[in-house]
Parts: sequence; C-alpha cells; structure tokens
Amino acid sequence: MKRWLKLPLYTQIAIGGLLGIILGIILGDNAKYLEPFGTLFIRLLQMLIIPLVITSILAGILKMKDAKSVGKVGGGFLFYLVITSLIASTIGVIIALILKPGKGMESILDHGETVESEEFNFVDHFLSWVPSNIFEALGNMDMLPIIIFTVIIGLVMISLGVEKVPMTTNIINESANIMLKLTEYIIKLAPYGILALLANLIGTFGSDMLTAVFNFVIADSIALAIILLLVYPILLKLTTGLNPIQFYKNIYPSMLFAFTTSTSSATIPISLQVSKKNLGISEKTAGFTIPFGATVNYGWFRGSDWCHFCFCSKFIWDRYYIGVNFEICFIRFSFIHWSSWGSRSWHSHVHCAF
Amino acid sequence: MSIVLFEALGMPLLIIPILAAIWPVIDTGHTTVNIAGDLNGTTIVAKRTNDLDDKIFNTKNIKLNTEIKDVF
Repeated sequence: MKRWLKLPLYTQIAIGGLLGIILGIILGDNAKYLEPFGTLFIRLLQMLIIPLVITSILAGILKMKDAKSVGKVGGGFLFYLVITSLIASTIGVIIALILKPGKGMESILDHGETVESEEFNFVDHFLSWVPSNIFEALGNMDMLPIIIFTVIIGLVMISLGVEKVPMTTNIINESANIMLKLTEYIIKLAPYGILALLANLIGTFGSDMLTAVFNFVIADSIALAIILLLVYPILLKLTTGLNPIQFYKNIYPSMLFAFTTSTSSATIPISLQVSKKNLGISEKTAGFTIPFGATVNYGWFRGSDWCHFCFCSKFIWDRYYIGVNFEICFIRFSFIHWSSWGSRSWHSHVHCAF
Repeated sequence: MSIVLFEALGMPLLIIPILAAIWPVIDTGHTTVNIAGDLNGTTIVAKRTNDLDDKIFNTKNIKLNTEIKDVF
C-alpha cells in the first residue's frame, strides 16, 4: 500500500485504467455496479468547474495589471482558436469525403429513436452570452455568460487599480489557490474513478455497435492525429520558432490526464502547472488562457469537436445519399460554426435528448 | 444544441442516439487534442507577448510532480 501511494499519479492512473479495462472484460454487464464510483469522481470534478474557472480567470487578469495586455492575450488566444478550428473543419470535411465513414451504417440508422427539435434564433443566441441574471447563469452552469461576467469584473478591477481593491485582490488570489488545492485532492482519486469508469464502459458497451461504427472511429482518429502531429507543430514552429518535440515532451502530463479522464476542466490545474514549470509561461498568460480554453470546450468551438461535427454530417449524408461537394459542406459549416459558439456541449444535449 | 444544428442543416435526428452511444470512445481523443491545442495556443501567445522563459521551455527531462504550490 505504501509503495502504491509513492508511485507518481500518472503511473497510478495508467495502472487504474488498465485494471478497469481488464475488470470490464471479466465482469461484462455486471460492471455496471462499479458505475456509482465513476459517477462520484465525475461529480466531484464538475463541482470544481465554476469556482475554479472564476477564480483562476480573475487571478490571471489581475496579474496583467492593464486592460491592454488583457486584450492582447485574450485577443491573440481567440484568434488562435478561430484559426485552428477553421483548419480542423477543413481537415474534417476532406477526410470525411475521402473515407466516407457513413457506409455500412444503414441498418443501425433505421433503428434509431426520434428526437424532438427546437426553434433556434441566431440573434437571441448571441444575446444569451450576456447574462441578465448572473445567478441564473451560475445555476444553469452556462459557462460563456459566466466567463463574460468574470472578465468584465476583472477589467473593472484593473481600471480601478489593484491597489485600490487590495482586499478583493487578496481574496481572489487566496480563493484561486484554495480551489487549486481542492482540485489536487480530488485528482488523487483519479486512479480509482478512472478504474470504475473504464470497467463500466468496457463491460456494458455493445460490441456490435463498436464494429458498426468502426469506420467512423477510425476516420475520426486519423483527423485528430493530423491536427495533433501536423497542424499544431507547424503552427508552433511558424509563429514562435520553438521546437515542437520539446513542446510535446513538456505537456505530456496534461495530455495523459485529459486522455484518461475525458474532462477538460479537470485538466486545468495540471495545465497551469505544466505551463509554469515545463513551458516557462507565467500565470499572466496561462491563468487566463487555460481556464478559458478548457471551458469553451463546452461551447463546441474547438477545432477537434468541429471536425467531429463535419464527420457526423458527412456520415449522415452518405447514408441518405444527398449529393454534396466540398464547397457546400465548408460554407454551410462555417456559417453554423460561428453561431454555435457558446452553446453548451452537444454531448450534454444528447443526454438531455433521451 | 446538436439537435438544433442538425435540424438547421436539414439532417435526420436519428443519428443522435447512435452518436451518444459511441461518444465515450471518441471523446477521449477529442479532449486530448483540445488540451494540447490550448497549451499550444498559450505557448504561441506567451512567446509573442514575451511571457515565455526559453530556458525553462528547453530544459530536458523535467519531472513534474502533482503537488500544487501557490500558483497565483
């Protein structure tokens, strides 16, 4: 036991994940009894999101001292997100057109359930980013309105001058450290939570479904690999001249944790650490971009999710034999792309739909 | 949201439950790529605003422990 606790967390997570997969294969359907432990872990992580994001974004902004640098960092990062998601959507469409992952899906699609749809208004959607009642936004966990409110408060504090609001500044910095510490404790449970989650996933997952959607998963993985191994390194090299291999060596703890938990927000504290200690970036930049980036994940703005969407769509088009060419694909998606930013994760909507 | 988009694009909604079923499998990869992307963007912005220490960036064989000291 003592030896186990002495192992680095990443080794513990890897062992927990492996045991989870083995248990899932052995237990089969019975693995569902492990599910509550996995759910507990995920709920604890979700509990952290709002206070962690608010405190670290505020603390990051307060470090910047003036609104100009906030604009530089925030604007630069937004521009980066826009560029990468456009590149990703192009890759998504091209790969979907080549591989046609929707082939062979006909039988499954015929057994799908019908889902209710709702009306959608673009202007109302943009307006919904501004919270009319911050507590309502907090209660519903609408992250984009919460972030907008937080950034406004941070900018107001900077314009007042940090020396005029020393107490609030201290409270924010201390709260940010409290939340990071709490996150650290919860992350210690990761090996056990991940064991339960993986056992349940493997045990209860229908293998029929997996083989049927195999093409889709393969196509998706190829697109992700292109983004990870080509797009990011080229962007990094071109814009900064830094060594991409060294970059990946530096960030692997974040990637490992993201891979095993599938939870971006849980990776925030790890990424903050990685930025500071491995990449040599101060909390001025990372304190803002890391929580922001991890939260807009919910907003379906991200490159890889975007490319995933293109797949879904192409996948359906293949099924329904609607003639489509690259241009139509790309233009329509780009349009929808902008309007979809800020809405909640489609994943959660899928679950609401059931 | 996806429901709205699928409707807007005139696509069948039948696909949604199916995608929900395979979502856990593809979500791991997406989260990893997104996190790497966030750090990539952070690095680019930091380097261009002179907030990146090249010496620390280029240090080989760093061991990151998970103990969180005061970050802010």
